[in-house]
Amino acid sequence: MIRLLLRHQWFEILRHPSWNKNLTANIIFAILFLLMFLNLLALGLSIDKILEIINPDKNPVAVFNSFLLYYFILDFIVRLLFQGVPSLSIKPYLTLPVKRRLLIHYLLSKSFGSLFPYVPLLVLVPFTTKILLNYYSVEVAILWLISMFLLFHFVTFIVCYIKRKIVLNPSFVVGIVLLFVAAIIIEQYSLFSLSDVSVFVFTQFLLNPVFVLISLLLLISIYYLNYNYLSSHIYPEEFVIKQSGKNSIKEYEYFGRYGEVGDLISLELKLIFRNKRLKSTIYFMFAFLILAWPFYKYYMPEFEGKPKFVNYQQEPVNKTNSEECIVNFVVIPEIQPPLKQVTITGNDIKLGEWYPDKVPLHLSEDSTWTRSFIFNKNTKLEYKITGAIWDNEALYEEGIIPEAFNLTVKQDTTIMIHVKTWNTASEDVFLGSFLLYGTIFLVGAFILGYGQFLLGWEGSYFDLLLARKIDYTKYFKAKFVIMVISTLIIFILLLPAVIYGVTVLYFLISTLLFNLGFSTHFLLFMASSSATKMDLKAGLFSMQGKGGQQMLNVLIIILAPAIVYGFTASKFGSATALIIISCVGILGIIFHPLILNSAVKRFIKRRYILGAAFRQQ
Amino acid sequence: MISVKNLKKNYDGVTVLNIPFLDIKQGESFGLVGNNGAGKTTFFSLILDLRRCSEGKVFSDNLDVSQNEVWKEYTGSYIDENFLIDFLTPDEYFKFIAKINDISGHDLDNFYQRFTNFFAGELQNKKKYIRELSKGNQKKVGIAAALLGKPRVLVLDEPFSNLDPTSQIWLKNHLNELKSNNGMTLLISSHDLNHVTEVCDRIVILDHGEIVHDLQTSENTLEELEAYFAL
Repeated sequence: MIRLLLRHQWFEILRHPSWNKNLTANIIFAILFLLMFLNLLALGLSIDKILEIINPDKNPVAVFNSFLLYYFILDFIVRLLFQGVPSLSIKPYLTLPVKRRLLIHYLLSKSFGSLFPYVPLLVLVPFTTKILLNYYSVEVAILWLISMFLLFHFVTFIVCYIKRKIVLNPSFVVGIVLLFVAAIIIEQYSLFSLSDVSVFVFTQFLLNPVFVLISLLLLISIYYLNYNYLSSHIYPEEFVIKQSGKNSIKEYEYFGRYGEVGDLISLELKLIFRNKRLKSTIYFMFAFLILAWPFYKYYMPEFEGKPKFVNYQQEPVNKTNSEECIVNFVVIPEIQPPLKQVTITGNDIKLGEWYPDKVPLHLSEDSTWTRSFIFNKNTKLEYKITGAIWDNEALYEEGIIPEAFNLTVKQDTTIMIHVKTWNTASEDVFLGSFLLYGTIFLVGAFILGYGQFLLGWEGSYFDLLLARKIDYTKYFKAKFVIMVISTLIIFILLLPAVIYGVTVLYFLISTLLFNLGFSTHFLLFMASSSATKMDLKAGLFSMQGKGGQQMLNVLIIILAPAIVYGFTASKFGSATALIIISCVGILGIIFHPLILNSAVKRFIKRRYILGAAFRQQ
Repeated sequence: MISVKNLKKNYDGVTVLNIPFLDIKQGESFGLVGNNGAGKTTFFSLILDLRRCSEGKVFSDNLDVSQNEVWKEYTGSYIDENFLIDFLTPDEYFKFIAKINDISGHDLDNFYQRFTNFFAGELQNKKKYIRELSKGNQKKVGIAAALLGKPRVLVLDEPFSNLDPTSQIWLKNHLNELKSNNGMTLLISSHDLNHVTEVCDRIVILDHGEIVHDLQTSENTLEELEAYFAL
């Protein structure tokens, strides 16, 4: 019997509809999957270096252990949101003469197939072989690895139990996320350190390898908790994942006043907010937007060429004995450098050893920049003046970068340097392209997720749209308005990232224009190309309905502007490139009625093909 | 009202429907019977312009249905669940259909009054989405929506299947009433020979995509039909 069940399980995987896709789509997914796999493996293989960078003074095992508890909590949150709970698949067997006990074990064992516990092994195994074995014996290391592996499965079943038992409403998840964030903040202010707890707990597993039994015990008990729950709730209606009982009958009345387009918009909003797949797309999008902060924080200053001042301390100018002389530099620029900061850099350690951003000069009220240093008599100095980065060196004659100045310290001196202008930085075109690519992704988060399948979402009632009196121009207009509104909302949410540099604003605005004018229209026009019905009940990461055509659309939207930017920025500079990107968008907005019309015409032409495809699935 | 000329539908070179000529007059009630695969649903889909005719044309009020959309204004239809927006409540669905057909709130109230018995207190003012309803109730929603606004032409594919006996009888009477009072042109298909003879004045038997019998309903029709379908 067990063999038969396992055989069916195997068939279920083998005959899953997601395999029935065209070759290109499968290849694209295979490549994406491989990339993710390789990324994780690379992280795993360089774990020793990473741990050293994080904290070079501490034992790498302790550093690693300090993160484990955080990982487990994060893992728990992610799985609450995304881990599936096998439920209905045993329904056909319930009326057959099969022992229920066996069926429950069968149902539970399916959870061992969840991918979540296996992914971290890509990091844990290299960690064990590269680091752990240096400090502990092979047996201890292996037992530790097994303990961790069992604990990951423990999380699987705890999530299954929670999802089966209680109604998972968003506030519960938000609560846990807030607690997690709070723990990180408290850790920052060293009030209470969760990582110390983490180190303590997981070091025990290394000191007492017997602790592997604790992991095992935890796993077995949570398994039996699940088992007990299921055996007293064996009827399918009782053990399906609980959904909150109340249906939203929100009307989105606001749009009702805009006539038929408004009615279609409110229909579309109901489509989005009443179906699991689209709703979780929205949640995921907001989570995704958080990435904007580290993204801009890390890359924008680099793009703007902002200096990162390191170890700068103002030293007191105190003449202690006659062997030391005070050298006072005064820089008098005709215009201020692009980054509004003047630095000196030179061969001496006090001059930053040729790092342009280590030794800033101080701005005086008369717009000159000054700073005094003490050097030993007869010190030979070489130095240059920069605008905090090598790209902004001081120029005396336009276009000529001067050689370094030489000075041998003999007595207290004041050196006046007149700067005519500053070399302008050559921009990092590649970094700019990357920033644009990321910004398009962020601002377009919703339209890329939703707009890929504009018609596919409505596949289940497509015949109604064909047989009823619906004005297709208004139908497309409603979709356009939804994409515009969502883009504007995301734009506003991202605006605070301007704190990382005013250039963020330029990128956001040109991306906004591009998405409003180009991406939306492009997706409207391409909507009729893909005739795949989207299963609205599928999960967020379900591959159902996703094919090569949509992937191509997304690639065009995110890559085309980055490439155009790259070419124009390398010739005419970043500003021109961004203006060109914006102009593409503005053109789209100007020709909106024309493009909408041709999209509708294409739709009407292809309506039979679409209808047939949607009906079949 | 509805006429068909040289209509053919092929799938992969196989002709599944072939009707050289058929004319359905205004106010006529037209019943389509036939075994599974006879082409009933295909025929109705072609009338509603849901599929492309391989050959020939379908005219509604003398206008080609694939070239204009005027027919949508006076045609109510329900083929299958592909006509239902399953994440709406029945009320929202009716409201949506009423809005796109420019039916006023007053007429919508009348509609609810007409259908009070049919809905049996299970569809109106309920917070259940259509996807959570039973098959029978889903069918009721679809049929009611097709009848919303008293269309001049009504196309229903197997309206009686999945309905409970009370609803079947109610629907039969209601269709007869609409036929005699409003002069509605009615096209229904059915596997239930009893129902179709009670509602329709004219019954066409379809077999492998071709019309084999075209009968005006009389006292003997039911027997004739039963004799035809008996093996």
